Amino acid sequence: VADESILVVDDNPASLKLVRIVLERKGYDVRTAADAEEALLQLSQLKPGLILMDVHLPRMDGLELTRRLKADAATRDIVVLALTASTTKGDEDSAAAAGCDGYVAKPIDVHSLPEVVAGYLAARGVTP
Amino acid sequence: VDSNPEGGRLGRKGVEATDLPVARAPAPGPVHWTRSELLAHASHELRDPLNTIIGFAELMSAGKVGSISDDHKEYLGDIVNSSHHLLDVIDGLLDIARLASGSMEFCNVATDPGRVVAEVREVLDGLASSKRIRVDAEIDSALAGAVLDPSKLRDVLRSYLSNALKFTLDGGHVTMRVLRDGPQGIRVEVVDTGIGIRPEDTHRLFVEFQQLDAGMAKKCPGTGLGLALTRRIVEAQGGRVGVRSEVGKGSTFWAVLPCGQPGDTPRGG
Repeated sequence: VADESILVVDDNPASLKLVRIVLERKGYDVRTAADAEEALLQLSQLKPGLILMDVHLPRMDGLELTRRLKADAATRDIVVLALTASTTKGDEDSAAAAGCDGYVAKPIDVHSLPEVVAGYLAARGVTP
Repeated sequence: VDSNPEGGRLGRKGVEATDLPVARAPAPGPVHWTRSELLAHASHELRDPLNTIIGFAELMSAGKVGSISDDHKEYLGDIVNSSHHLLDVIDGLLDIARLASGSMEFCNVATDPGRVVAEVREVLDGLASSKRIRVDAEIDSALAGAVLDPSKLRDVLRSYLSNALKFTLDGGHVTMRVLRDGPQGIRVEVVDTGIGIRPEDTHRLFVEFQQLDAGMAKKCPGTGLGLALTRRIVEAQGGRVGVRSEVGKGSTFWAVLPCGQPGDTPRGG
């Protein structure tokens, strides 16, 4: 696994830690952000191959941030996977409508998450 | 001590400033959530912590963050299982709340009931195999394309089949049937050769948190919500549920759901 970088955006620090550990074990270079503002700061310094984006964020939510990234030529091609603990029907649709490339439900499956991420990166043409 | 010659003036300015009418933001009114917004938030707040509890317990249990003893592995497995059980209870209660508040969404589309039955059988194949229970399906093929909500049909079948498997002894037999019920209805039946239910107990079956057989329930603990939720999901669609049973012989759980004819196109408004 090469050092493909992944940005995880989640306001729950324990969730961030969990996803970081699961993906770092597979050799990914994992960056984290606790809100949209931090995510934008990270993105101004480094362009990751993929973003795991919690939908529920304080102030600007994950879907609004995704809309901005997909509207910007500089960040449009980053794969964005929505991450949410809510089971409300229609969440998947609103994630797709906001421009998310995929959807990961919480609780995440720690065993299959790296494969899911690798699958999306491979589909984009970059093999980790 | 440095005296500030401007001090008095600053002080006066300060006083003036407080005397000036201050442009105030309108006082924030009380926050009003719609019921479905409230439920979406509750869902997130209840399920999000379980993400890390389950995730870290699974990581450790699989030995992925260092070697652990057999005892630790067992206890971590207990944390994982209890957390998944809690998640199921939370999801069940949230569904009941959605149904009670009318914010449960139904999405009726052309559906192949045979495919839904096959999916449900596959999901529960592990439990059936472990008890050597044969599961057959009888589907009216003319129902392919019937217009109904496939995810709700799946919930009903899954609830009935898991219940049948739980209360059928090893080597028993379960049949899943999907039949027509009049011109505008579909009838679902799950027939088992299980322990059966005494007539005086049947009224407690479709009620929340009522376990009839404590011994059996301990062996295969459920949420105590499955059948109650099934009844509410079916009734919310204008359908009905019921059971026929004989102690020692088995039970037939049934549900009748309204559905559109194959070929009917659900038109969005």
